[in-house]
Amino acid sequence: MQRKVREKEREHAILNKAGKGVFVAVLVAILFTLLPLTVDRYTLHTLILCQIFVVISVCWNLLAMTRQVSLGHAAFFGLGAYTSALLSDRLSTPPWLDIASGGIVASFGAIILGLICLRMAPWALAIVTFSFAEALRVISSMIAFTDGAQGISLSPLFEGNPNNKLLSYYMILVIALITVVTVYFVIQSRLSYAFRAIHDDEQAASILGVNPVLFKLLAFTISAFFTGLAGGFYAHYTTHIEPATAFNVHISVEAQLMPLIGGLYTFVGPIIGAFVLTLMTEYLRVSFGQGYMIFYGIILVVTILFLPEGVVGIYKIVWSKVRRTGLAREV
Amino acid sequence: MKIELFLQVIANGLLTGGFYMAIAVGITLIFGVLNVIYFAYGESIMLGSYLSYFLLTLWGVDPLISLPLAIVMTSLLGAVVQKAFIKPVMKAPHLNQILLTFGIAVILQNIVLIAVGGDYVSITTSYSGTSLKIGPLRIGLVRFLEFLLSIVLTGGITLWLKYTDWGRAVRAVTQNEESAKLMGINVDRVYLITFMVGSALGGAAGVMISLMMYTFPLIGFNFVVKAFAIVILGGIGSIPGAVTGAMILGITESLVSQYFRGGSGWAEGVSFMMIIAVLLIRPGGLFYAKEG
Amino acid sequence: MVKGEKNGPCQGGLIRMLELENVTKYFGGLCAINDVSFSVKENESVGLIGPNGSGKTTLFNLITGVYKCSSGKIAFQGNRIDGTKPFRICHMGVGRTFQITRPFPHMTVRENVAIGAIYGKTVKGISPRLALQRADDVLEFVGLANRKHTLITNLTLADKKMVELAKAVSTQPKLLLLDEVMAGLNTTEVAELMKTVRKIHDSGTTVIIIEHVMKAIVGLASRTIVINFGNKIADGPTHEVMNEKGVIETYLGKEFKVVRSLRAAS
Repeated sequence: MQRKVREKEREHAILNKAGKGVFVAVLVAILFTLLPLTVDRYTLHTLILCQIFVVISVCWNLLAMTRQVSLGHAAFFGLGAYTSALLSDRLSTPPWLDIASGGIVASFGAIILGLICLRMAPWALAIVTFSFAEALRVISSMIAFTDGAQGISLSPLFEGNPNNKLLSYYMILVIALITVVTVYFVIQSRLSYAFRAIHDDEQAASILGVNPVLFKLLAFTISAFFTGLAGGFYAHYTTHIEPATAFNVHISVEAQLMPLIGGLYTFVGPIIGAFVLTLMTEYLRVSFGQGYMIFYGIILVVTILFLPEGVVGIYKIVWSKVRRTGLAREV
Repeated sequence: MKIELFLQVIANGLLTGGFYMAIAVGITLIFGVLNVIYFAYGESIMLGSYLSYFLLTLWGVDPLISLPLAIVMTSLLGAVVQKAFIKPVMKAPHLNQILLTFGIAVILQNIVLIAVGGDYVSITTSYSGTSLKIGPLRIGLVRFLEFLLSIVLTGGITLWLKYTDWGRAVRAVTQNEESAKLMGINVDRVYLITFMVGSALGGAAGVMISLMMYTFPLIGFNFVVKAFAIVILGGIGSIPGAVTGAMILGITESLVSQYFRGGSGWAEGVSFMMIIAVLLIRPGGLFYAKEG
Repeated sequence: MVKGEKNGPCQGGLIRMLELENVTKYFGGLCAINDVSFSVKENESVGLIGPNGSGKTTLFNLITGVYKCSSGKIAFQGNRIDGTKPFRICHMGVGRTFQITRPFPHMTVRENVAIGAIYGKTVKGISPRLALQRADDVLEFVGLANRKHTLITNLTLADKKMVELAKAVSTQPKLLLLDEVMAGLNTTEVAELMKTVRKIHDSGTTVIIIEHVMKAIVGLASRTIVINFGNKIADGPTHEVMNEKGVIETYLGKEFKVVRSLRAAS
């Protein structure tokens, strides 16, 4: 009897905790909705880039949670961008439709790659995704269907509207919010148990009834879909995409670094990392110039070399941090 | 007429394959002997290429003469990279190796980018345009020379592995590191030398590239994908496999280039398709995969 | 259902829980399991013994779908399971532990056990809230309730093995395969674990136990199968099998000879 009372009290404590979390989240959401009304166009542009990378970063992180490391996330971004651009240019579809299609095409790509690499060690998927992005980049720069290296142009979003940049920002904000909320629900659900089990020991997980194929593909599909949406939006926002930008290796590198910097496998980590790195990139691009990626290479090298067990070491440090912040639910 | 075209396509494919041989053997050595996935291999190629370009444009040195210099320089770079970065991760999971060497690649690319800018550069020599006529086929002189060079390099490496003390040491270490240590072989040095040789091959390939097409700082990634494709197809650690894989890639690219609409574009996707095809057919692992 | 019918799924009214029929497994040229056949009745407790490398764990891997048979059939409750994926076999009711514990290192004890509770019966799984409650019940059952919030890597070996057992139990298996679950434990810990295994068996679960700790086999298994070099060399009531000459030699033969020669030398 006493135990039951104590457990009920505990439940209430957790509800309060959850309540706090939701409160903070809503506050942040409001902040991001109202803030843009007060800033200038350049800052707005930066915020838009931040939101794009929030999506990419959160998605890469989700995929990594199942021990599927993608070195070519630019592939899904670019697939989304090109699908969107091609539909818009050849069939004059409305933006929301071709952006959504971009997401769908990107997911198809992911399902195919995921199926192929299912039984392989993580490094095989890394090489395959990287090669995929490279292949797409080179092919799209050389074939007529995608207008080769010169790329495709699209008409601007909200053309003629004086608030077009602001409206564009809200468009990507909606996409980012949907992405973040979806991933949040995934992390809070039974799915995260499956993901983490698969990540740690796929075989042991399957002996306990977890279907590794289903969950790995699910993670990959979700990851690619939203990344594709971001790409689709990007195409419309910048009104011109070409192979060099849509499938740029920068995107793949930053997709990785953002969760790494902000906190791998956590919920807020990738979001923080996205903002930090996007702002860093904008700053470096202006002050340092062309070779700014060198810093990212250095960060990557230093991270791998000096965390005692390399990437595994990051996992361990991060998981113990997760433990302390109580992200894992205690019911 | 059609058969002549076909033969020409095959010939071109063989020439390309010959060139790919050099790249393949280099990464086969590194992957096969050290069991390291070296993502920055393409940067040896890139550096060899830029070296050739600068020596020609600044001092008028013909690429075929700068070749030995490129080989020396890239092998020195390889030595530095191996000692500083590769050694610590040799026993680490492959994924870590990939991420680390990926970072190294990015660093090297951007050093060059900062130093000389990102413009595409290319060189032409007095003999760039000449071609030989062998029967009904036209063979570019440059490509033919590079084909020969690749064969010489590959043959040289094979002989080196088979008949020299160092070569034997390399083979011993590849088979069983512990036994090799017990036999008194300086395993660390073997790894260092193998890595240097592998990088040097990349540098040599880079010089060849400079004559065949343009160069730019990011070109490394393109070639590293091809290198992986060849190694995955032909077998990790197998030089005959690397040669075979290189030829298959070269010929397939040539065929696709000619017979597919928009060919030369799709040809670039061949290496990717090869990776996929091999991984599909042998999903449990790769040919002679060295992983336990 | 004909009484005494030998080859159907029902024998004397009892459905065969597990049936292996001419199971063979090759790894390349090496024959790991050679034409092994046996069946296990509901709620039996069977010991599986044999020298190291004789193929016991391979048998478990074959039954749970980790390996595919080179030839032969495996049936669980009358349904063929050879060729079925491991997670499906788990859903059907087969649970197992691993020889070397395989905990999920970044989760607590409770979360480790919860995974089996969530996904042990269905692909979709049950809610984490329900599963965590079930996990609590299982941990109570095995006596680890006080450690449930500890990170699993911080446990002693004995506790880790108990968690391994708890994980398998959380999937509510009808057949439980225990692979050297006593290895590395001292006498007290072995006795503790044996009590728990007995509890599990008494609650109706069929158990097959691989062990080198003979005390556990004798104490827990009414029937014992002996495997050597992939061949089944004995199958019968435990005390009979233990005394069979061939079995003793299989296990102790070398030691016997060493002891004999030492005695001769002194």
